[in-house]
Amino acid sequence: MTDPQPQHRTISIDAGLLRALGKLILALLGLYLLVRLFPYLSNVLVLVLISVLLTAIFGPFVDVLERWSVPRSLGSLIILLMVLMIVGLAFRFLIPVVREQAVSIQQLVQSQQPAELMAKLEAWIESQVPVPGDIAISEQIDLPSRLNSFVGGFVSSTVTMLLNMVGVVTSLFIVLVITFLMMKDRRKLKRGIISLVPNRYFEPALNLFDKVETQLSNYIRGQLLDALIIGILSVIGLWILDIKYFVFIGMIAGIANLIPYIGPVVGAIPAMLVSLINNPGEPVMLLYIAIMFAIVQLIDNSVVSPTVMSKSVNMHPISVILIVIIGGNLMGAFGMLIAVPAAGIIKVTLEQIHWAMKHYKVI
Amino acid sequence: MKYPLWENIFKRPTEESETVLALKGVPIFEELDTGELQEIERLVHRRTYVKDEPIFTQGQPGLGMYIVMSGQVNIIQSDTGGEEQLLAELGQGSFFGDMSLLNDTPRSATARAAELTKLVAFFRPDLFDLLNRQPKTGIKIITGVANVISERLRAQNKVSQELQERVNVLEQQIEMLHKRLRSEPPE
Repeated sequence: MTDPQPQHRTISIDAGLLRALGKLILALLGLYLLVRLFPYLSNVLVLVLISVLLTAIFGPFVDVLERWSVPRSLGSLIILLMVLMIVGLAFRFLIPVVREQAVSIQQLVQSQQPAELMAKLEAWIESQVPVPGDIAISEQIDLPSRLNSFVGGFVSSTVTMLLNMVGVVTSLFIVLVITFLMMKDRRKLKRGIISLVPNRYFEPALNLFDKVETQLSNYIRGQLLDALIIGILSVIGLWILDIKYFVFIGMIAGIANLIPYIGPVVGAIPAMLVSLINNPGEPVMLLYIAIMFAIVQLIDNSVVSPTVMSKSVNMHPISVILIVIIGGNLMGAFGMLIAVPAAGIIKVTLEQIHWAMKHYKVI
Repeated sequence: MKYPLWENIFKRPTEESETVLALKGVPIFEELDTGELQEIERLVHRRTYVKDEPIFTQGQPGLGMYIVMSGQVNIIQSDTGGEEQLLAELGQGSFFGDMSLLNDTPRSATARAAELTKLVAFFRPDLFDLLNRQPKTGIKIITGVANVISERLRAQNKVSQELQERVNVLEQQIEMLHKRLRSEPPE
C-alpha cells in the first residue's frame, strides 16, 4: 500500500473569465473617459454628428449623380450647393413669415387678453375644485405669469435662434466641409475604418457596418420625411380651420412629430392656445383642432409611417418618456427633440451588433 | 521626380497594378475593361493572414469572395461530428466564396490560410453599391458570377450523369445476377 499523495490546494482561474473581466474593465474605463471628456468634445461631436446625418440624408443623391457619370467630388459639391440654395430660398420666403407669426404670438400672449382668459379659467377651476383655506388658486399657481413666461420664453428663444443664424456661420462652414469630404470619400473612409479591424472580426465588422449604414440612412430619411409630411398636413389642416399663424404652428407640429407619443400632443398645444386666445368664446374650436390633429395622426400612422419609416425602431412609450427626460437634462429643448431619433440610432446599431455577434458566434 | 510639387496630380496611373492584374485573371471579372477593373480595385479590401488563421468559418453568413494574391488557402468541411475533410487547396490566382456575392446563405465550408497568405476581398454590399451607381459594370460582374456558377453546375451535371450511368449499369448487372441465381437450380 502506497502513501496517499499530498494534496495541493490550487486556485485555477479560467482564462476566458479573465479576458471577459479585462474587456469589462476596459469598457467601463472607456465609458468613464467618454463621460469625463464629453463637455470638452460635445461641440465637436455635435458638428460631426450633424455632418454624419447630412451625409446619410444627401449621400444617396450623390450616388444618383455618379450613376449619370458625374464624378463623386463634383456630385457632392452640386448636391451641397443645391441644399444651400433650397435652405437659402426657405430663409428668403418662409422664415420672414414664420418670424412675423412668432412675434405676433408673443405680442398676443403679452397683451391683456390672456390675463382675462386666465381669470375666467381660474374662476371656473375654483368653482369646480375645492381649494383648501382661503387662498385663491391664482395665488397658488399664478397661471397667467407662468403661461406668459413659458410661451414668451419659447417664442423669444425661437426668434433669437432664427435671428442669430449669422452667428453660427463658422459652425455651418465646418459642417459643410466635413459633409462634403464624407460624401466624397465615403467608401475610402469606410475602407480605412475596416482596415483597422483584426482578421477575426473583419467579415462581421464589414457586415455590421453595411447593415447599420443602410438602416440608419433609411431611418433618418424616414423620420425627416415623416416630419415634413406631418408639418405640411398640419399647416393645411390649420389653414382650413382658419387658425392664425398656421405656418408657424404647423412647422412646430412637424418638428414635434420627431418625438413619438409626446410629439403629437406638443404639436397640438400651440394651436389650441392661439385659438383660445383669439376666440375665447368658441371652445368648440379646441375640439375641431383636436379632431384635425387626430386625423393627421391617423394619416401618419396608417399611410405615411408604414411607407416612409423603417419599422425596426419601435420603442415602448415608457422608454420614449424616459429618453426625452434624459435628452432634456443633457441638452435642454434641443436634447428633447433629438433624444428619440438619437436613441433610435443607438437601438438600430445595438440590434445589428447583437445580430452580428450571434451569427458570427462571437457570443 | 526632382520637384514633386510640379507632379501632375490628375495623371492617372498608366501601369496596371497587382490587384488589377489579379482581378483580370478571375473569370467573374473577365468582361470588365481596365477602367472598370480600376473601379473594382477601389472597392476591394486587402488582407494578410498568418498560417492556420481562419478566413471564414462554416455556417457563418456569407458576405463575399476572396482572391488569393500569394500563399495558399485550404477549404475544409466539417461533418456533424466535427470531423474535418480537406476539400481543396487553393494557390495564387484562385478564388473562393463567390456564391456569397449573390446572397447571405451560410458558408458551406471553412477557409483557412495554410501559410502566410495575402488575399483580396470583394463583398456583396460593394457589388450592390456598384450596381446602383454603375449598373453596366455591376451587370457584367453578376453575369460573370452566373457564368461561373453555370459552369460549375454543368460540370456537376456531367459528374452526376456519369454516376447515374454507372448506377444504371450496376443495376442491370445486379438484375442479371438475380435472374441467373433464380434460373440455376440449387446444387
